[in-house]
Amino acid sequence: MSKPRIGIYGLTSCAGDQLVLLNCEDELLDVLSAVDLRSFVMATSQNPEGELDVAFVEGAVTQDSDLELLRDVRTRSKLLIAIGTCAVWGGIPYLSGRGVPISQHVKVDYSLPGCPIEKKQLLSALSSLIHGDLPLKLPYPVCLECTIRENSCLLQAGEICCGPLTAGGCGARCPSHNRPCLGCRGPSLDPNYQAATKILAKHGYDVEDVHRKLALFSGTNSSKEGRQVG
Amino acid sequence: MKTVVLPRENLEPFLGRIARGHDLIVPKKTGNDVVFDYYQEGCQIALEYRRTLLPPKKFFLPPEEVLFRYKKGQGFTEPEPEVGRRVFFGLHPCDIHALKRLDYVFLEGYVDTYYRRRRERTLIIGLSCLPDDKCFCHSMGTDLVSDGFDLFFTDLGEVYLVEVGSTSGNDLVLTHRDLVSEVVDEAILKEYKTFISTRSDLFVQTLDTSGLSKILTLEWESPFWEKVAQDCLACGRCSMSCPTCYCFSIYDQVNLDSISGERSRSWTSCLYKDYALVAGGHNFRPSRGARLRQRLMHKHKDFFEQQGVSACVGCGRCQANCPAGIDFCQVLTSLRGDISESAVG
Amino acid sequence: MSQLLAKTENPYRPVRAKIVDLRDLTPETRLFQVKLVDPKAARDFDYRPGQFCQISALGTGEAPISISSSPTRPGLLEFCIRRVGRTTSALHRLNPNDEVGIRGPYGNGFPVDYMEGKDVLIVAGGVGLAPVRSLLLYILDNRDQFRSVTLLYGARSLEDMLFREELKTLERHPDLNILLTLDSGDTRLWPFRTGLVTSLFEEITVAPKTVAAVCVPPVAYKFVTKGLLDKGISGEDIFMSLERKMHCGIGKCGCCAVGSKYCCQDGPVFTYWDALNLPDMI
Ligand SMILES: Cc1cc2nc3c(=O)[nH]c(=O)nc-3n(C[C@H](O)[C@H](O)[C@H](O)COP(=O)(O)OP(=O)(O)OC[C@H]3O[C@@H](n4cnc5c(N)ncnc54)[C@H](O)[C@@H]3O)c2cc1C
Ligand code: SF4
Ligand code: SF4
Ligand code: SF4
Ligand code: FES
Repeated sequence: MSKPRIGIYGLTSCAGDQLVLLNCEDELLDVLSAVDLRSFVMATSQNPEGELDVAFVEGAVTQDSDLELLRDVRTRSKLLIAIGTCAVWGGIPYLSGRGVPISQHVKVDYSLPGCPIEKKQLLSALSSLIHGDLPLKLPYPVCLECTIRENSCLLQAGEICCGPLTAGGCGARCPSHNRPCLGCRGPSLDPNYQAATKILAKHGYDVEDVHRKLALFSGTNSSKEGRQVG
Repeated sequence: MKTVVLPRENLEPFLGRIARGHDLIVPKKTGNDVVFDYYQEGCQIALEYRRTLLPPKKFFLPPEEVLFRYKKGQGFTEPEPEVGRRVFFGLHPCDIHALKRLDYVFLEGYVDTYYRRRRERTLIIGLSCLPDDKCFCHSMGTDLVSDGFDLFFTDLGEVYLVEVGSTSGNDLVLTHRDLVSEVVDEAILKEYKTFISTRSDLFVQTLDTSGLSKILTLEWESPFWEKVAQDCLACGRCSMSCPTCYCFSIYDQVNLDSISGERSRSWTSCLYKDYALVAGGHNFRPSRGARLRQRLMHKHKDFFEQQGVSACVGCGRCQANCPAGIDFCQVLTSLRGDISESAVG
Repeated sequence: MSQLLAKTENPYRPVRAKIVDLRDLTPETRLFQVKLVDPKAARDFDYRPGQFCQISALGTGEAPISISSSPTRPGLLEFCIRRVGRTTSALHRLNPNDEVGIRGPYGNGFPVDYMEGKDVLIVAGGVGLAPVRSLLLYILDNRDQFRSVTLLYGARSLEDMLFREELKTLERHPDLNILLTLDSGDTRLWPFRTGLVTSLFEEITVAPKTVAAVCVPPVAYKFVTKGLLDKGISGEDIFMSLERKMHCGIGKCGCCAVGSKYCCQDGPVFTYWDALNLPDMI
């Protein structure tokens, strides 16, 4: 089996997700020996790397050069994987009205959300891709891992916790430190914004306030759906 | 059943000694919560706890476990099983009943060897409890237990009345006979009777289960399911915390070398949208209402039809922990027509 | 029926099997011929038409797949696998001599003993031919045990029809009545008709003691069973092989539940009568 040709690209972003890979000290050598890494810098739209099996794209499209790079990468890659909440959902750039998720411009084969992405998920996705599979999708919200860790529920206690609306996989990092989930991983498979809004309204929150909070990371969906109640 | 008496002051020494020879699991205080966890010297055992968030099932069907490791050309190998005796102290009657329900699932038909090994290496010591406003075990017939434990401790203040449920339990008692007394006198009997009647007076929550499975069958099409489900976050907290929810999914993860990897299983919930979704996009339970209905149907109808008992043991965890405040007893009661549907939620 | 594993052994453990041969049946569906690596297991492996196995693509996952071969032809096991997702795609990447894992056989299968002495009507759509092919071959190999045998099979197009060549040969079999239809396409292609599989019902007469075996896509059961009932077949004699999400295949994981039944254990073959009693079955 020949090694898969891989490229990693950043659009407008903090490069935090690329850093996650660099921080996989223990596994980095294994990764590098298992793949044919063609690009790992903010590349220009020239394509010295040629055809790719898998392209990882981080960040959101905020300027023409982003779009140019994205389209170029797409035409050269068999699979395109969006990494990080900015690429997957628009994230912070989307909120400021400047960015959109890359799936609005090109076909995305798989999304790895997170701000930044989880190391464990990145490595398991890489392993699957090297093996020739699309990575597994995690179908559950943050609450699953939160409950398994036996955290008492912050939403129940009247805090704005986005756990039930947010894609799991982070090990419920924030609620496990007694901080409400901010939704940094973007929407879960089946987010029920109306139900969440109703609960928080019962706890005395202002509905508009709740929407703003819920829209922080997963802006694309929550503002739309949530507003139907508001 | 053989019955002995353990003076209250002897409980700590009794457990302390057991911990020396076994892995001991106890209800442990952590902050404001109580969780089942391995005993450590000096840890705080909660003797009067109401309910843990996660039930005992986590020690028999862990939230996540590796079933096999595989390597190309070598097939599948099981991870080394855990060995040694465990003693699980402090299960309330509902949780003991719940384990018996899980036994139906995992030990009948094909035997789930992972579950069986953990079950076989674990002695169960039950502990009496007092209900809060969420408990409805008395409605489910699970407020008392007569089997499914090795020892059962009833807290009578000064002493524990100890029922001996098995030869292993008897061995424990005999090994520590210096801590127990074989004399169960009139006074103790009287206290036990008082305890039983006081306890049964304390129940607030009730569920009328007569004909419930049939009523549910007839209410299959009720629009009420969708109405209740509008409030459901599909968070899965009810399933994770339920002592008899056992659904799991199996998945593989390959290693970076592409020739080895693991097959694992982990808890899942029928409330999740992908639960009945098959390749090609057909979802056998496409709506939230259909998924919520599945949870209640399985507890109170399907399992009942399979095993002659409900899968719900009335522990109250699901409704105590639902962030949306969905009260399953109220939902069922209103489906019975005993309270109005608009009173729910 | 002999299981691969004794009850005391780990029921989740797949045994090793080697791919002997691969053949493309349609652009998405490939026939896998496999042989268990352990010769004794290969000899002892017995099953009933309509049962399925959990097939592992090492490193990717497991998928429930019907056995398409017949127990009357022991040695090799055949599976028709359609490429639709992760595991099935990984299986399609394999070559002859590569290994897969196999557990099973699971489920109840078709009640072949009950079908003996009766007229048998088989209705299949698309990849649904996979489990009923096992039944068809089984009946052929025990032809004198059954009365008339009819197969109605529909596919989207000629390209999507499984076992085209085999069916063309069988079509000429004197003791079989085979009617094939395509949803659309060239009607001049003998022996194919056009229209949905239900349209074939007009062309057949159904004898009083007829049992039906059905495997069609989930959405089609309602129409097919209605057609069969209209033809006078009793609900108890309509046997449907149903699909559900499956993980364990052995009645533990809960995800294939249909009311109080598990599709993996109590099914995948259910009668129309079962479906009347279990809401949402079809
Ligand atoms: C009793 C039975 C017999 C079957 N026989 C055949 C056959 O002969 N040929 C054939 O091509 N297909 C058959 N299928 C369907 C086949 O199992 C699915 O297409 C396959 O599981 C999809 O897996 P995947 O990983 O490729 O898809 P993904 O969508 O990536 O699925 C991921 C996981 O979901 C589960 N899953 C998804 N879809 C199904 C499904 N339809 N049924 C059960 N589990 C599912 C599996 O556990 C799978 O590993 C049968 C299904 C059942 C229940
Ligand atoms: S604290 Fe937040 S993440 Fe945890 S269970 Fe409650 S709502 Fe879900
Ligand atoms: S359904 Fe609710 S009350 Fe019943 S056993 Fe499960 S968690 Fe306890
Ligand atoms: S705990 Fe409540 S909100 Fe969460 S899935 Fe269960 S019923 Fe729905
Ligand atoms: S597939 Fe697990 S119970 Fe049927």
